Amino acid sequence: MTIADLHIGSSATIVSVDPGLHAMRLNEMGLVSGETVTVTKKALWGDPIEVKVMNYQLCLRKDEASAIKVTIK
Amino acid sequence: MKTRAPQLLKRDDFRRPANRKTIAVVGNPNTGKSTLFNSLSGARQRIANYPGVTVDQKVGRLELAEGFECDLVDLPGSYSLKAISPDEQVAADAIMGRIASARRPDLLLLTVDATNLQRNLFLFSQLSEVGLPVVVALTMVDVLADSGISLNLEGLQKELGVPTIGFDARDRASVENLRKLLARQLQGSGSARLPKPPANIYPPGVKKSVEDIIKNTATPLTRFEAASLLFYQNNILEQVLKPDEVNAIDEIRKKWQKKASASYEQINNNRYKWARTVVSKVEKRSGVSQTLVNKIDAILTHKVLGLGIFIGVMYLVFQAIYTWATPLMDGIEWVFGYLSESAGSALVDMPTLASLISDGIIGGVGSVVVFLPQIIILFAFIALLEASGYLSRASFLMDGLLSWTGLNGRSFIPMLSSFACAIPGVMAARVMPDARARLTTILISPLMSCSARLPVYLLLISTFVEPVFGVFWAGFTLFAMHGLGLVVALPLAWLLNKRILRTPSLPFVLEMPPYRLPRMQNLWYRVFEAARKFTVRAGTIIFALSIVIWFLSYFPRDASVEQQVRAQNQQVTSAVELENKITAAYLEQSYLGRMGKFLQPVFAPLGYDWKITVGIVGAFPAREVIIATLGIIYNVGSDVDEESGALKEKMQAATHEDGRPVYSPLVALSLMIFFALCAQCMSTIATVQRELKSTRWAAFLFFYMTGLAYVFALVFYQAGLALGFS
Repeated sequence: MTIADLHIGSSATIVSVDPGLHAMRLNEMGLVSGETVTVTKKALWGDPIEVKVMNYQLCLRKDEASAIKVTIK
Repeated sequence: MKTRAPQLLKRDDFRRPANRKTIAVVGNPNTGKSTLFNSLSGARQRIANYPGVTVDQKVGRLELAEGFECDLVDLPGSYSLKAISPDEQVAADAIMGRIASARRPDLLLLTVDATNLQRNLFLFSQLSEVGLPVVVALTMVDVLADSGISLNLEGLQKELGVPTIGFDARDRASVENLRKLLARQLQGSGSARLPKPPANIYPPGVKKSVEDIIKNTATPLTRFEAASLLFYQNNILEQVLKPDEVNAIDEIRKKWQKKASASYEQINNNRYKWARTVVSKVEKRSGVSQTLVNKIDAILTHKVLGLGIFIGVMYLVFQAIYTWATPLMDGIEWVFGYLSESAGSALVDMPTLASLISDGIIGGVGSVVVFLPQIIILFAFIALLEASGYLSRASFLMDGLLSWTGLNGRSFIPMLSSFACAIPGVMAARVMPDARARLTTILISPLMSCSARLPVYLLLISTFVEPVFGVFWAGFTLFAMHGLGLVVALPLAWLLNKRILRTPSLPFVLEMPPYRLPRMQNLWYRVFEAARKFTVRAGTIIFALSIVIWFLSYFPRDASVEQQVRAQNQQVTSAVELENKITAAYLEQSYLGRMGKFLQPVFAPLGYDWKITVGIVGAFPAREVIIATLGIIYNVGSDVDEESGALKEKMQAATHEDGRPVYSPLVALSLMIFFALCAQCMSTIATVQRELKSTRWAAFLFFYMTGLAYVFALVFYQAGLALGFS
């Protein structure tokens, strides 16, 4: 399961970030394993996605969101 | 023995004595870095450029104590020292002292958003490894209580091991305290404290390799640089290292890559682990729900409603640009008209000089300065929307509509701005972090139909479309012309991004900053800087080119031309009509007129005669010039506007030598299409050249737009002919 699969309002814990082109920046922006993310918004056609992590709001494209594996508590 | 004479200090405010110290302001974006910079340095700031680096650099002067000054450098906001955008690279290189033309800062002033501590501390943990003293300024402390956060400042200072101080730009005492703290840190040698890097960031084996790298390089490397080299190559560092050192590091890197037991991700995770521990010790959050803000945000970013609101906001911005700018533009035009007239009458005995000054210089420069009110209003709006946090939401909404072209939501503002004028639009592309995405945005923005095209459309539509097809189709044509640029721009962006530049798909990872009330001081500095740059630098290029165009339209000026016209038109009694005929005759044999006749075969397949060709050639500096040029050619005097009935009648009556009319709706549409797409604005080209610091791309912009205009007008005209229109 990835962030892209989460519905608006649901929270999950990050398991891992797929190594890839943008993994590093996602990582540095606080999307690290063990952190809790909450999906707060989705734009038209479900892309991009706004999430809350480390108490701030972050906007991601679906592609990036689907590189972040999560598990629902 | 010589006695040293007392020297007068040069009052060059920004020439820096060797012993003056530099403080670099660093921090994540949206942490109030500019606010802090502006309130510390006030008006004593300027924009500097690092040679070879395409990022502007704000440098200010800060008086720390009586007679003790230092330089304050505002580095671009960055999330990490491992840079992904040109902005972040400059910040990282400046901090490490790897910019050859600039000295390394003596102290880092890190802005940390108190409401977003954990993520902000990530950068701190990196900065603690660069061997520079750090002072932490906690910003947004004024909203801590509202956000339900209580923070133990002393505890945080202890955890970080560096001076940590709350900062609120609205509170004078807080600005003073920061100033005093910085003074204490810089005065006297060695009193500034180096941060103690957090423990347990590097796994033991990695730590050993990092220390080996540091030990075995002649050039001192910071711990952060050494650790980064362990996992990634670094071109800048490889230039300062010896070749055998580079090879040795490559070997160590290969060893680690094979092991796969440690990764850079792991190091990042450890940094956040440390940050989490610190936060858990010093921060308490009570769940205050900001229901009102959340409700407003839900509406503003609603997938349908939000788009509608965004379009409404943009409509208001453009309405403001048109209506508010008009009186100011009229005023500027009046002033330049008055100057031009006065110069003309003062120099009545020297007609060449009078024409150079009033038509060439004053007319040319005036046609640029007239855009200044639009620039100011647009930039004020953009600064306002950005500082309030709304622009990030708009980008979130727009991203989906642009993503297929490889552009992202950030491109939307420059493109929208370009509907008023491409110059502020191109300048607004600075908000884009990626150089290639910014390049594409800058290259397509001038295709948006700007306000200078409007008079051309209005003249041609009211003269040739409305009389034949009626008001409905006239309005539709105007709308279609405005849509044409956008329709062409999006596939072009796709082509540039996906096929030519191969813009890497960049992470559209955009922070959504909390809504905030913008600070007037920040807005004012941004608007002022944009206006100043526009006036000074684009103005100098315009000035030079205006003289060239004037020269081409004025010379050669053989008095025999005038005598010939007078001789041929002895029956003409009206002095004005005769004067117009003389002007037209001079234009016809001027270099510009000859150029038009010479180039006419090129434009013949588009349906244009030599006079239209002259109009097009003369309109390359500024597209609306075609109206004045046609006015001169059709002997109605150069003082015409799009409402000029005389010009309309003459254009409708104009015939080829064989008696066919020059203009038809088909020719008029072909001409409008040409104007919609052609790069006929030297201010835009100059601005693009300046913004991209590349003459090549500015030239590319000119040629691709002109080529596109030609092809579209050609295909349209020929298809029209084939379908039986004439």
